[in-house]
Amino acid sequence: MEDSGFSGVVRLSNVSDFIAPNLDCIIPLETRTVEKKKEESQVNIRTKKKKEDVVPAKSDDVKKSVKISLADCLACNGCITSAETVLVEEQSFGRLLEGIQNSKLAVVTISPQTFVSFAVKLQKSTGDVATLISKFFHRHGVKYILDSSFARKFAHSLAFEELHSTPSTSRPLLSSACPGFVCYAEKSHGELLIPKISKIRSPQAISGALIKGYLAKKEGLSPCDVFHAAVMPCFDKKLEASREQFKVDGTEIRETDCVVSTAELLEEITKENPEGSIEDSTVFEGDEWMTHLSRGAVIGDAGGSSGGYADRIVRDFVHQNGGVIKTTKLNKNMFSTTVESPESGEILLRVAKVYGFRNVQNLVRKMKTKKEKTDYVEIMACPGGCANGGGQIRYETMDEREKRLERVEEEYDSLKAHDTLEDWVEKVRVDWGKVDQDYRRHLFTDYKPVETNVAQALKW
Amino acid sequence: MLRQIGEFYHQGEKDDTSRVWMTCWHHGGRILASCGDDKAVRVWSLVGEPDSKLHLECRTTLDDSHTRAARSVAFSNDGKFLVSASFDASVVIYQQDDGEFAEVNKLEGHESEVKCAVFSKSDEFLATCSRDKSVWFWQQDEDEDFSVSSILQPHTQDVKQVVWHPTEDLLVSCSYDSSIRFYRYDGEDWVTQQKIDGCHVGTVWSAAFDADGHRLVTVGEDHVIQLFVRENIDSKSADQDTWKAVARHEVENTRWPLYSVAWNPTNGLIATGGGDSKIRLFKISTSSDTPIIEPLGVGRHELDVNHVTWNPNPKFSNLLTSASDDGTIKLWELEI
Repeated sequence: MEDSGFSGVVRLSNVSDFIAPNLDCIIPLETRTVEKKKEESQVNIRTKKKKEDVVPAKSDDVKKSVKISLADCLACNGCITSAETVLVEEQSFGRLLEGIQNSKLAVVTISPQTFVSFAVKLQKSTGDVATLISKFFHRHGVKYILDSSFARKFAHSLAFEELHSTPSTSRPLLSSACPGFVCYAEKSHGELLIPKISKIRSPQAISGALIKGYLAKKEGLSPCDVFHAAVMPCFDKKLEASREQFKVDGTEIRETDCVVSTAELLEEITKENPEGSIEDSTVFEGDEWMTHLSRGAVIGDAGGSSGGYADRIVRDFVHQNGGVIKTTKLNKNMFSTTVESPESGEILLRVAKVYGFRNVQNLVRKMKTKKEKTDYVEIMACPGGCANGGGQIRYETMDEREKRLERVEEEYDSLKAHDTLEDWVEKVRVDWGKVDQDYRRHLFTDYKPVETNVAQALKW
Repeated sequence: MLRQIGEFYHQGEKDDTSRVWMTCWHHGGRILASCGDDKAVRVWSLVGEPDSKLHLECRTTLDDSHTRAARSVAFSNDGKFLVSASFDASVVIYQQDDGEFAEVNKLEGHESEVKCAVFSKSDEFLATCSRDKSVWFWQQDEDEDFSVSSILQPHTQDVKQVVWHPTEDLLVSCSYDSSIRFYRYDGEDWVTQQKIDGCHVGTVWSAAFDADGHRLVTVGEDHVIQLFVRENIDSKSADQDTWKAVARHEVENTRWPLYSVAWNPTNGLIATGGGDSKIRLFKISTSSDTPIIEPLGVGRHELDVNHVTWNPNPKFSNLLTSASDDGTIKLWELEI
């Protein structure tokens, strides 16, 4: 299970559900079989039918469910649960291409971490990588290639305001962009953590709403005619895409239909274009924010490869209140930044970056004992942040991985930040407001605690 | 060979027994801690002398820390702390104050039942392992709180036990996935030093190092005792070295797993406890080129023996304790 693409946090916290649907329930109860989804994932349940207990299945039931009585359950994890692996297998590259073909408009959102991961692997500039990837998708019928950094700017613009309106008793406010962390918070420590997670949507979710809500209307289409795929640094984003909260209002249509990881995209591109060469250019129509990638221009942003939420908060705070910024590195994956009053030296703001399960655990412990004095935490499940996401391009040896990760971080930091990005965001925001008065609700979301495994209810 | 000298009910009443999972001696050999299905940890004093009526007297009952069975209990090497691991997924630290123990910390984080929690020999690290397949390393920080140092998940199934090397910061873990893993500290993080798969057919239940830390013995579901030795005793430190299997012994007259193994630091004898209610003694003879595991004597409980341990004090080097499903802790004396 080591290189499955999920963050360590999701793997560890979903362990009870996280079984490949290949195991047998060890109790030969009266159960019904489940249809095979794919060739590899076959489930075998031994059946022991008793005439009076068999309930006839409805003829239109495609998926039959499995029932095991709690009293008989040994919690051996041998049975089917809402295994996220099954959910995730739905979001394969094959499905992505199918989705594009069956839609009237296809849009792909790509994360900046994907570009730099490719750039370091293929030894090309990020601009060339953007062109390469865009051409690949355009060839397959995708009309617009978006950068998730654009959607992220929406999130950034709301972050400081949210922190400002969060009372100190409800702090630290935790960033919401990492689905690995959100899944973990909903499953464990729900009561403690959920109220503290920022309600601002992640860039992927904002992009989804933007496309199915705003863009679809602009192009005169209904959301069901639009296919939105995303290329992200981890598999956890696939889970995020299938959340209840990210469906088009009043429908079962997902705002982001399919997420594939950086590594999955590399595999596909290499199949088609092994040399990774760039072909000649075409003219792209549309607003700049929808076409800049196709033209090979990648947007950068300050604050590191995990979205720069902490840095943006600090910048906005200093912009409003002034102060001296001091940053300390606590360990490889933990940074603390304070803003001090230049006269008194009093600490006005405390912001931290916490990456990796171990640091997340320690943060949670401090929060439980109320010893945590930070105001905002940029919290990521993967050590090394998104640059080192579970779906990024992997290398063979530990040494190589470390070196390449450094290169990816450097490459990310060297991307030029566009001031014009803020202008585009403003324009779209105003336009969106015209199309949908209540558009702001699409920038926010909520969280629900999830029931943990059955074993906790057992008496022994 | 093994003479039973005392039998004590973990829960106090003979008619109300519940399984005892483990016992652990304080390094001085005069204090014993036990834990069991009754969710409690008990602290006992060893009263008497080797030649006259040694027996256990219960001093403290700590029964409001856990909401499910207490699976494992261990003293820190300096005797200051007691740690218990429970099926309720928490690890509780008790501090000793003038002979009395009180809960001072609860470490949460494991996703499911914690099977074992033990302090490293220097007490700098605490290792815990769980059914969630992971091994966690904790460290005490300035506030006398424990913070997570590393979380590793090299096993593919339930991790049953973790055991520290007697002299160095090397940990070995045993798992339902039939393998053992070794871990060392690289200065910043804990890393997997070596993986040995297929140690047993089925679960590896328990492991024990010899007094020098040159040899390791493991027992498992296949009622086999496996012996490993370090490959470069003279040239490498234990945490940088690798281990290889050199001998095995299959207990023939049983079909039940061996759940626990303990290696006497003074006389080198090995004791095992198993599902067939028996305690067996072995010694390693090195008369030929390859070491041979030789059976010696046998002791009995009424039901499965979950754990065996030798008293660490050389004064009581012939004293063995066992914990069983029959609700008792038995004291045994070795007669050579």
